[in-house]
Amino acid sequence: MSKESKPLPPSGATILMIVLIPAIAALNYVTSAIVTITKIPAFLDTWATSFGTLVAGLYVGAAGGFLYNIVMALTLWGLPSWPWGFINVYIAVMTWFFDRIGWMDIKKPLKVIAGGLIIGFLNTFACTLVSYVFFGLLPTWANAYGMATYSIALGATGNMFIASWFSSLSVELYDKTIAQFIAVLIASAVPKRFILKKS
Amino acid sequence: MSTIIQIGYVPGDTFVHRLDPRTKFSLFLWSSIFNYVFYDLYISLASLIPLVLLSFIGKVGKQIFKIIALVVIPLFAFTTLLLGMLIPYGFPQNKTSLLIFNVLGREVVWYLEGTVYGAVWSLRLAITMCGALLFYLTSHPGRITSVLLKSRIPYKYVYVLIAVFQFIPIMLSEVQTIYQAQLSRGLNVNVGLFKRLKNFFVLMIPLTLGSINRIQLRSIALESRGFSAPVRKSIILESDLTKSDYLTMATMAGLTALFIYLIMTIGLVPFMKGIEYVHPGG
Repeated sequence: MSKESKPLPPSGATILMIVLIPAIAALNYVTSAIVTITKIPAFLDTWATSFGTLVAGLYVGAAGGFLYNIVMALTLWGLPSWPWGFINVYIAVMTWFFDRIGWMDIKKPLKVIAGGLIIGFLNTFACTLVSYVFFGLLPTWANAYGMATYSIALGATGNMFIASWFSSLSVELYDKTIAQFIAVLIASAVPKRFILKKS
Repeated sequence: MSTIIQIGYVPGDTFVHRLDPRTKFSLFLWSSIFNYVFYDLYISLASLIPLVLLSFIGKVGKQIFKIIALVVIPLFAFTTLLLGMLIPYGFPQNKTSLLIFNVLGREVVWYLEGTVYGAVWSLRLAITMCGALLFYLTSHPGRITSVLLKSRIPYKYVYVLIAVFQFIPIMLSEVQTIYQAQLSRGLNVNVGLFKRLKNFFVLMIPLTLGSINRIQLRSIALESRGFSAPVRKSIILESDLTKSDYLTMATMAGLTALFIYLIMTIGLVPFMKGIEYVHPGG
């Protein structure tokens, strides 16, 4: 072997993971579109991030989730939306953690729900922070339900921080719980040969 | 299916299409950053107008307008109503009344400060969305790839970014097929919330499992075409800076100098008289 020749990098699972990252981003995107069409009062556009984490590990889930927000920032949502990508990274980390302790199992639905509620509750603080920096604490969810919860909280307290946090709380709890449930349910239907994460 | 989700590169040979993706991306970043620095409706409007003109020159004005109208107009209407009118104590800076009128025997005051706050933030969003869509809708993915590879970004990262834009239309097309198939099997779409959630599963499970099969096929195809081979990748479309790019960048540089001058001499609210800079949340 000559000195110039380079060893070939490992392939197979690595390439599968590389291809899975944009697929996760695209699945989140399609979810966002379906939710808009079916008028479901939730986001659900983090389920593929959790799904990617469950199937291929933390890095693939986090990268796919972050990429989704970058794509949305470059297309439909505009530049200020890119920090939502950190929320997706946080969700990947939390999913990975709950998976490690055995909560992300379709045979234990109560634990999946508890995990979703915890993820959703902690997420409200991060959402309020992003809203403060990039959206002036205005409502970030432009539909009747989001606007109504924001108005009620603002009317009751006169504080835009509380209004923004309450508006997040009113959706994040059930949104993240449903998203986690979808991810776990679909991951459980994936044939074992496609599971790429290291156990 | 809604038109909002079917956006992608719009082929064309306009002035905007011929601009290098780097120039359009710089324009997007530049316009977004300055609009977040200034708190001034006049500057925001003055920034939005050229972007809208460019979008019509690039023949993507309709698509951009549809998306902005869907997001920004409801936000502006809602914030004006909420911060400017209905709940005066909701926005701490409210003090200058524009109009007082009666609604069902109740006095309603329309405040200047809350309205301006809502308008400024809505316009900021409109400008950044317009800039982003102008870049995305008029830049050929091949040219974006070429620019990214020239920037010495490793090919696998470039692939990950570009592949999303390939996957999205494929998956949207597939979800439409699944949707039609499920409709023909009796899927009822005019149902309550829980049934709609169930319908979501009905669409997503086949889509995801089908996608996983395709991912495997794609990874085999990529590997067979030397994806991980340690060789220099060839580029189909070249993208170089032209006179128009230099002119656009020079205009941005000139305006940057003007903006810095305005910030140093007048402040962050240069043209709106009687309005003070308001931090997020008032």
